Formats: sequence, structure tokens, C-alpha cells
Amino acid sequence: MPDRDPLLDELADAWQGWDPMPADLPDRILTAVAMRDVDSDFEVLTLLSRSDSLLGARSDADDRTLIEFQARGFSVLVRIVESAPGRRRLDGWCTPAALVSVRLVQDGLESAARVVSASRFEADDVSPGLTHLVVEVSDDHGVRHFRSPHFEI
Amino acid sequence: MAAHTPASRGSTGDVWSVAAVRFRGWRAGDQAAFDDLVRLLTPVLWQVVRAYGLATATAEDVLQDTWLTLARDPGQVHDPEAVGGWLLTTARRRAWRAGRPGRERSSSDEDLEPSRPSAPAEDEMLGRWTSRLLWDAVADLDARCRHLLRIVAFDDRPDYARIAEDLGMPVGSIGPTRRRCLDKLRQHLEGVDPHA
Repeated sequence: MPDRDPLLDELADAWQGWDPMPADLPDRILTAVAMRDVDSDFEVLTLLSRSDSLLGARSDADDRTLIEFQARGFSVLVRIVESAPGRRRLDGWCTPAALVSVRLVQDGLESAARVVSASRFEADDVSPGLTHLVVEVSDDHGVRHFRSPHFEI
Repeated sequence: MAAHTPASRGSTGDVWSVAAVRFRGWRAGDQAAFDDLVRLLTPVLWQVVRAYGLATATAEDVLQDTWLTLARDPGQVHDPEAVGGWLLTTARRRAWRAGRPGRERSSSDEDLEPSRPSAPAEDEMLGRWTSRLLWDAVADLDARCRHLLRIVAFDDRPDYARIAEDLGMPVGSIGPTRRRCLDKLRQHLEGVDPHA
């Protein structure tokens, strides 16, 4: 702008010092945008129930956790047992039977569960820790992706 | 929305041209370019939004909403060169709506009163006048002048019709008011009592 008053440039510089933007604001905005992307690409599974059973205080084989997730027209039940000291095994059942793939995500790292049938999946030798599932199904509604909330295994 | 390129700043470089490059990169599939765009322009948008007297949390919400609007539908910006103007206008409209009477505002008049400059910032702001002199001169302006100058300092081709509506002024008076406000500021800085 040829007629821009240089005083305006001084004002702009000064105002940025007088009332600076919170330093972490761009990061928070980028997080919000990233979450929007996740929400738009995945249908979110919500936790319906979780039961931690310690049925056999003297038998580790009986220790299990059952977690049920649900989204629009889709349900997943996950059973978690301790398969070896410090290791977990997951068995999953889905309805309707339309499974294509299941991925376990832990600390940003993904591993594929074995899809046994259109309604069952399993994963052996999983590390304990905060986990979420990414489930792909294909049914009359087309291909859909679901994402569970984080859960501790 | 008018496609325009807001003024470049001497101290911050030609952020608007850089913004256009980043926007093009993002549209071509470079996600990091979007991150750069947010980091580049949010400090400028912050200034414009705060000119509307919004409390910190409200100003943050307005800016987040503005960026989400762009992320959802970047096709709204037809010309990459206009991305800065689009963001400024969108943020300003939302700020105006959020700042209407009855909405949450900053608890004091901090929105239009410049904050007292801190020592490190002051070092960076030494130009023809010290930061303190400029601060005193800006504080001496009326609220309308401060609002108008804060906006035009960051975008010297703003939507005058919209600003006139925001300030309850005839659109034809914005240009003269801007000049008068700058004159008052300059007189104060030069030691002339504008009230005399």
C-alpha cells in the first residue's frame, strides 16, 4: 500500500508486545483441527460397560476383563485375559458380523488383530497399557470405520 | 467477500505472501503447510479479534472456530492470495458477533486499553518512539480510535462497511476518522496536546 502510514506499522509492532497471543494457542488450534479430522473419518464407539473380574484369586486363568462398546448399529465385546506374566490376550466379538479389519493402537503404534471370522477377532501377546481399537466393517451401509475410546488392558 | 491482500509489516515481513504460499502447499496435499499457516497468521488474527474487546477465552474460541471453518472447507478461498483477507474478515465477523452486548467480555476495559508493556517486549519495540511513549499516546485515544487503529494496523484494507456497522458509524466517516485518529496519535507523540 503506497499510502500506508508508517505509524500503523509501529502500532502493529507495539500491540503485539502489549497484548501478545497466548504462546500455545496455535498448538491448541491445530489439535482441535486434528480432532475434527478424526471425528469426521471415524464413527466413535462409546463405552457401554466394563467389568473387571477376579473370579479366581488363586487362578490367574480366570482373571478377565470384559468391555463392551457401541456405536450406531454396531457393537463390540472385548475380553482381555492375562496370557502370560505381563502379556495380554484379546478376544473380540462384533455384531453385525461384518468385520473387515481390527487394529490395536498403543502409544501411537498400530498392530493388526487376527480376524477369525466376520464376527470374531483375536490378538495374542499384547503389551499391557492404554489401548484403542480401530475397526473397519463392511455391511449394507458400506465401509465404515469405528474408533473406540482409550481403555487400559 | 472481497479478495484483498492485507498490508505487510516491516517487522514481520510479508506474512501475507508467505501465507498464500503455505495455503497453496496445503491445498496441494502438504499438511505441514497448514500447520505453518496457523502459526504464521494466528498472532495477527489475535490482534484483530482482541480489538473487539473479547475476553481471552472468547478470543481463543473465535480463532479456533475461524480455523476450523477454513479446515472444513478450504474451497471457500478461491484465490490463495486472498487467504489472509478471508481469515481476517471471518475472524472479525465472528469477533463482532461474540462481542455484542450480553456476551462475555473482558472483565475490565483491557480489550481496548493496551496492557502495560513488559520490559523484554519494550526492548523489541524501540523505534522512533519508545514503547512507553507510544503506549501513553494510544491510551490517550478514545475507545473508538483505539479499536479502529488496532484493526487497520493489521489490515489496512478492511471491510469498511462492516467496521462502520460494528462501530455504529456511517461508512463514509471511517476513512476520515482513521486519519483523525492517526493525527491525534501523532500530535501526542510530537508533544502537541490534541485537546488544546
